[in-house]
This record gives sequence, C-alpha cells and structure tokens, in this order.
Amino acid sequence: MKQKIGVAIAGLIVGLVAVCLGVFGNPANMALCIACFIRDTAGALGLHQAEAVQYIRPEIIGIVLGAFIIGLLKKDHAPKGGSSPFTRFVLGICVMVGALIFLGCPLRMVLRMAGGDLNAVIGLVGFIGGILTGIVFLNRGFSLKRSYEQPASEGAGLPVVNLLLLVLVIAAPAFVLFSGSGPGSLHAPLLLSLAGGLIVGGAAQRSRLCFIGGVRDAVLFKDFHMLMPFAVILVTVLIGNLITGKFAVGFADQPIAHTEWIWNILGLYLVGFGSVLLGGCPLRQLVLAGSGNSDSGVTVWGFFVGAAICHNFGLASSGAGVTPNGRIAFAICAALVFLIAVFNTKKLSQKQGVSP
Amino acid sequence: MKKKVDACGLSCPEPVLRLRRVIDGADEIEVLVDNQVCVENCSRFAQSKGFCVSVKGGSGHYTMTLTKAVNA
Repeated sequence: MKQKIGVAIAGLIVGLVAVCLGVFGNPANMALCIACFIRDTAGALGLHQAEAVQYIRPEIIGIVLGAFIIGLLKKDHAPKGGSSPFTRFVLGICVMVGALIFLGCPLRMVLRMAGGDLNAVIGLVGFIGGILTGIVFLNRGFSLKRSYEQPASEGAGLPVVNLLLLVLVIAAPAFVLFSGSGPGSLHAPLLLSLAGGLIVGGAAQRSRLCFIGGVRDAVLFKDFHMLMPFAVILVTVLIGNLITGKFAVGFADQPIAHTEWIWNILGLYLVGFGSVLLGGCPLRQLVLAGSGNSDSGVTVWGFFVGAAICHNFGLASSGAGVTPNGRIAFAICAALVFLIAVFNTKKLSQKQGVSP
Repeated sequence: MKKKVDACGLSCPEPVLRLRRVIDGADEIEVLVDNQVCVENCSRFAQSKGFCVSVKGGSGHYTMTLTKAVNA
C-alpha cells in the first residue's frame, strides 16, 4: 500500500510539473518528453542540423541530477555497469528511432493522450504490443547478463556530463545552437525547467517510476502498482489541460503529431519492445544513469546518437507524416531489436542461479 | 527444503523471474540481490505469494529470507 501511494504521489508530481511547464512555454502536448528533449539537446550540440529542434533542455539535466542527488541522500546511488553495454547502446538508438517515428517517448504518449490526441491512443496499442513481444523473450530467458560494481567515477559519468550541459545552457556560447523558431524555440524559463526536471528526477528515483514496468509487471507478475502513475499523470494533465483550455479531442491538427496510424503503432511498438529488453523506459534510463548505472548511461548516449541519426538521415517524422527513410529505418531497427532478443535468449537450466 | 536464488548483478525483472521459477512448492527461499529495487520487487512478489520477507545487509549486498506464512 505504501508503495502504491508512493508511485501515485510521484505520478501526481510528474503530472503537475508537466502542466506547469506547458503553461510556462514548453511546446503543446510536449511539456516533458525524454526523446524530444534529448533530440533537442543533441541538436543544440551540433550533432544534427535540424534548426527547428535545437535547445539544451534543462529538464533532461534536472532529471539526471535530481536522481543523482536523491540517490546520494538516500544512500541509493550505486556505481554499476558491464551488462552488455554495446548491445544497450544499439537498443538505445533503436528506441529513439521508434520514438521519433511516433514523435514522443512513452511519457509524451501519455501527455498527448491527456491533450486529446487520439493518435497517441492508437499508438498505445503498439506500445503494449511491443512490451508483450519483449515479455515473450523475458519468459524464455532473455538477459543482457549481470552488471558489476564500478568505481565512483564510472557512476558519476552522466551526472558530470549534465553539469557541463548546465554550464553550456547558462553561458550560451556561440557554438551552442538554439532554435529561433519551431518546437526548439518554445520553452519555459531555464530555472523553472531545471527545477521541474530536478523534481521529476527525484520523484522518479524514489518511486522507481517506469512506463514499461507498469504493463510488464502487470502481465508477468500480476503486479499492478506501477500502472498507477500512468493513470495519475493522465488524469492530472487532462484536468490541467481542461482548466487551461488546451484540450482538443481528435486525430487531425494535433500539435507535433501525425495521423499515420500504422506508423504511430509501429513506432511505439519499437519503443516498447526495445525498452523491455533494456529493462526500463527512456525516463527510467535517465534516472538509473543518474543513480550510478553506467549501462543506462551508455543507453542514454544511444538515445543521443539515435536522435542525431534520425535528423541527419531524414528518419524523423513531422506533422506531415512519416518519411520514406523513416519506414526503412523502422524495418532495420525492428530486425536489430528482434535479433538482439533472439541472440540473448537462453533458456535457464533448472539449476542456474538456483540451489540446491 | 531451503532453496537459494543468486540474482546478484541482475536488474529487474530478472531476479523476480528467477524467484518465480522456484517459489511454487517452496517453504523457505534465500534470495541474494545487490540493489534496493530488486529487494522491493522480490519482496512484493513474495508477499503476493504468501511469504514473509526478512532482509539483511545493505550497500550492495542483500540477503532476503522468504518464509512461507503458516496460514497462507
């Protein structure tokens, strides 16, 4: 019961932060999106040249540092790594490709649903389908193998990088690119975004908030407690949108979204499948990286590289729809994720890890 | 008979999946994990299966003892 209340409160906090950031300037139905905000940050650093989506998003910095600080305070910061890092890097790229075909991570999927975007409701079908596919492999013994204790410097890697990003977004040197128009130009004030990220990072660290974990654990163990934040965020942001007049039901003309339903399903299918193999959604990967898990740190770099690939090679969707290159990229990434699942699935012997 | 599950280094849901393989028919299980998240998840699963949970250790080394509740 205590954990249920904890995750419900975390959901409420994330929902309220999202509403607040939306009111103060973040793009519509995109007040918080791990995929979009990493993509924007990658653009600001010149990893891609899509001028409309370049800004070092303080929310990402805040989430990592919030998880880092709370982890240290609660003695829950543990430098670990060595669990198939390259495979995780590739999965990170594939998850990002799926997210940018759909146009959003699982968190943004919920925000889009709360804004009345029915394309996201359709996408949810693919998301659940991807999770169920991953569960098939988990039940057959899928594993990226164990991790090992690491030196403190390894666990502090991504938090330190994010501190440097914070310096860059405050100092705004000429080599950092900031969008003059488009979604990248729409943002809440820096300090508010940073504070929002810190709060979300801390809350997610304590509650273990994960959008994959909710559906996965419900199916695998009949454990429904992690579905709670999903529902609480949805309701909180829905109420916030109704109050602020940002709720509009429909498929067409939704902000930063397209109506190609099959690709909304397939994009989130890839996100769900890849994230189950990674052990958590993009938000969870950021939080784990902040808590000292260098495997998740490598995964986050996979997200960055995936975002750069998407915009450099014309894979990312837009309001106009999915690109031809995006369709090909989906096929390649889906095949890659499937192969990773197959090659890392080994039926456990009855005695493995169990004695007597 | 007491069973032992060594899930050190594994991240969730793998430790719970390993526990699930042995929990039916067991009276006492010792589970070794190395992080708080796995302790929480294994505890929740074991309790849902009618086990009492006690945890010893900390700082990356946890030993969980799961005992079948008498009235379960």
